[in-house]
Amino acid sequence: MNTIAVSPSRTCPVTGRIIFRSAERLVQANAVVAVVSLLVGAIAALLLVLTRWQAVHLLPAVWYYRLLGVHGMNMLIFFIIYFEMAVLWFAGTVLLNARPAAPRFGWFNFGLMVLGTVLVEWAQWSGRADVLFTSYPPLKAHPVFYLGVILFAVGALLVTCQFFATLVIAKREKSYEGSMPLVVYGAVCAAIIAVITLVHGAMVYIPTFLWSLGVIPAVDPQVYRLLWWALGHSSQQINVAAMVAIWYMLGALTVGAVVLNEKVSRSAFVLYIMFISMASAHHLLVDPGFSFGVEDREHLVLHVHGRAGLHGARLHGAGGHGAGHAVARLQ
Amino acid sequence: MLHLSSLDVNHGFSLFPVNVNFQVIPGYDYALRVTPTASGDFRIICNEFCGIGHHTMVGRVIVVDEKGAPVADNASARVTSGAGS
Repeated sequence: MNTIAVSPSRTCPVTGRIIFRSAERLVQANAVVAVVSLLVGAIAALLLVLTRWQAVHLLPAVWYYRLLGVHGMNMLIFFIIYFEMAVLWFAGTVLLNARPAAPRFGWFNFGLMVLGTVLVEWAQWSGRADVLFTSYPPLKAHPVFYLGVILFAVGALLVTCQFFATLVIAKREKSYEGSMPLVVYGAVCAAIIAVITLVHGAMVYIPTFLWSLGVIPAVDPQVYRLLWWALGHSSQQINVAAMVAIWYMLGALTVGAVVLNEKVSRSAFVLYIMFISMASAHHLLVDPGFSFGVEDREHLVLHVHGRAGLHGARLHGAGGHGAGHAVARLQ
Repeated sequence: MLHLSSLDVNHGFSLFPVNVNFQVIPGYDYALRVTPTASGDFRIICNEFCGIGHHTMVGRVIVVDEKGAPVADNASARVTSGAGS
């Protein structure tokens, strides 16, 4: 039986840093759920591979698509963002010797995220959300699926706000001296990208949720695609920024590495925030989508070249509203 | 002229083996003016998930050569005759 007197913090015997138990538990909880999400996503991946492998062809079509959606949500949303929450609690407190801002509220937000995750998993595994990760409307899932994503995103957004609050506390209470350490700086960049990502997630899923309930008649499929990719692609950028920050930390902790030029490293983080969002746009560039006000859409000419120039076709695209045709037809 | 529309959900229009991939969003009539540069048997594949039957949504476009002779099965579409503009 451990009978050590209850103290809000302890000192790490290796690094000498002050670690607040309240923050440490939040780091542990978020990291554990992150790894569990990774495991679920990886099991789904294995089953998907065994289906795509024609010699095995394990799953029927319905389970293939179902698990494809499960895989996407677990890998690209749950694993990444739970782990980001763990990094934020860690970087904001341990690396600055600071106390966490409102740890009880942190548990409430963690609860929101877990509730959202459970709702999404339930909807997906029970076949109520066979809409893949992208869930492009008008393909419709059960409202619980959208609600789950919203609860998760709101919880994560609030934790990110708590991270910023923790930074303010650390600064005010002078828990560290000089400028913010590079690793925390990287975590701040990840947090900024997380805000961009999660706000878009809320923007896209709240109307879709209302549509699934029948409150609003429709969600524009093109607006959805535009906004959704600011969630679906940017979620990876959160992880990239956080991962680079952690690399810096591991370099320092394991081999005592010193950063070659802190200014360059910090500038790179800033450039990453400023320009990486555009990377999401490649999901929108490949297809006809929103026009930029071009009146004569005959100008949208797609040149298509076949292999070795032997075959191919030249397409002149002209998109516009018109009577619906159920099938493609040749005139 | 190739008209593409959807009555229900998003679909994709991929034409194999040429590099054509088009998004078909409901509510629009996409009119593609297509000028074949080779005869052959081209396969249409829906390339946007549209429901559990998505993988069964396939079709074909057969482009005949100047003599009007239909081309035999040509999924690999290595066509040498009748390649025009």
